[in-house]
Amino acid sequence: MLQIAITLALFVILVIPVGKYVFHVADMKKTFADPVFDKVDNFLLKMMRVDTSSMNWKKYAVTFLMVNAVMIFIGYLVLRLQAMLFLNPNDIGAMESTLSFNTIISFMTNTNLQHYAGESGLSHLSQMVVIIMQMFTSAASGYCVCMAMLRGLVGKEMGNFYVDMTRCITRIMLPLSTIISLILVSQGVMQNLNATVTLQTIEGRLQDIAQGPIAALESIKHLGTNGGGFTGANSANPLENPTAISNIVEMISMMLMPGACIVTFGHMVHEKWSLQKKSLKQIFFGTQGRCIFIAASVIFLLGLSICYFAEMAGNPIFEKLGLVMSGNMEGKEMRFGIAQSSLFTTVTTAFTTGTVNNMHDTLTPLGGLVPLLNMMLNVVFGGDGVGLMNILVYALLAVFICGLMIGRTPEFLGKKIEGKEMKLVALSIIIHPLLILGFSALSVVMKDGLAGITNPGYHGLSQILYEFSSSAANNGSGFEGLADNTVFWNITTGLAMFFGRYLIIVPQLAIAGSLMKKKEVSASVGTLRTDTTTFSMALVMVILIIAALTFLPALALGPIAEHLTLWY
Amino acid sequence: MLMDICMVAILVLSFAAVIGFVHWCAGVIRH
Repeated sequence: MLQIAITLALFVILVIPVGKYVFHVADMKKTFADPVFDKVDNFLLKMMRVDTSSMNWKKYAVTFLMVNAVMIFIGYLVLRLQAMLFLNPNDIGAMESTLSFNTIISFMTNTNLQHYAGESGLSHLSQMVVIIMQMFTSAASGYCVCMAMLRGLVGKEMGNFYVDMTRCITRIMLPLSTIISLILVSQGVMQNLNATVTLQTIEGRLQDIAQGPIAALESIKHLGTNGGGFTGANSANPLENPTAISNIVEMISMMLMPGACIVTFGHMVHEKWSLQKKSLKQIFFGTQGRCIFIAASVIFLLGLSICYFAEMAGNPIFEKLGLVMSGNMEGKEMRFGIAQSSLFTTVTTAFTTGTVNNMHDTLTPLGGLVPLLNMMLNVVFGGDGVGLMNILVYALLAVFICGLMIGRTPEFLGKKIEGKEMKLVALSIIIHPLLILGFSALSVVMKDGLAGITNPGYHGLSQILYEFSSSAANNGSGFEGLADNTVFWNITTGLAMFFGRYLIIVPQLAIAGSLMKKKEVSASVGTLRTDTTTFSMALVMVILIIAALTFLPALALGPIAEHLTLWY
Repeated sequence: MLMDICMVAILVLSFAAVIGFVHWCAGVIRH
């Protein structure tokens, strides 16, 4: 419990200065890093001959899509040709075509769902050029569209995608990931370009030890809420996560940017309203940022408590057999125990990273329900940038519903919310459950889908739901029980990741574009305040009600039925 | 090779669909 408290306290302490720094970068304000990075950015933008003028939302969205498309096609080519390219000391062959399709979409959409084992499926060149590079660019893409949306919401011009992307990578991602890499190297994480070595263990058996640029991958894997491991076992493997300190560093890294984006939003709104007097909470989180942060924290802590106590309660069947068990340790590393495993599980799914330090398939049914629900909600802080965008869409819905209930005008940040925005809000919210439930339904009626289930019954449905929730939420963690490297699973999850990313971002940018053009109305007694704790609670309730309406039937047939069967 | 063509075709069609969606959203805002 103390470890959980320390990790969360460190997160809250670090998120405030990082959020302020990100605000300065996003708002083109002066930072201490300007003397160095101004030169780097200007050189890169001039070299690419980029038009740096501000874009409208449509141009911003199309540029974002086109840049992603180019990187997807280059990445696909590298994966298919890796056997013929250099930096392949282990002589790894070309990746199969449907697996390449799945992998490239997975990494470009910030999902990092892996249907392969990195140590045996990728050359060092693919690890660096495809995996690590896309970990930077996909995270930066999410951050860019988020900053464009925030600028639109506060009535500023949306900015330029190329400039945002360059500034985000050079000023945020590269410096922070370098620091995190060095900390991880100090904890014993490898960073080299050597081939796999085969060693004799104490038991006298032979074991392959993977080597490569692991520390570089680990840092951006967490900082960019990516989650794809260098090895198949991900952060449960000591090569990726050797000590308790590295475990805490990895957790803080994945929480940092999504949390900082909320603080950035608070500062942007505060500046828009030119508020002179600042209370303590406004200095830390800015205006509006605090209530969003509270709403996300409430759902996060609720999930963490359920996961922790469910894992501590263990498995009642073992007790009936007379085995003395202190909680459910199946699928967990002894060095992390239940507390660090439950926290990691909740963090990795709430912040939609997808890295794992324990196997989620062996969590208790209620323990497994938490990561599943976090991904279905997709708003508990969420991934880099996109998490905040999802929360803001729910905030617009909450404003609209609460406004109608109490007879107030639906306004958000001084802009009237009308039918056209609500259409896009509804669309943005409904696409996510549609992808999860639609593809899950397809899987349970198709032979190829059912063939992947390794544990039939309630748990089998949970395996399918988890796979598509992880894909559509761009999380990437696996239940690990599913036999998913088949043509059916590679293509269906690939499409779920693709549309789960792009079909949701587009209407969100459109909403910002629409609100940006509207005239600001001054707040009156008829305005519903959105910077209060009451609004935070209303937001939490709206999120939970929507989740219950869309996902409860599926959850009842999966983890909830499994829990009731186990205990009663 | 045939599978490669299929995968690339799916990617191209998916991107085309999303760009079409951008234009549709623009229409929603306009009206």
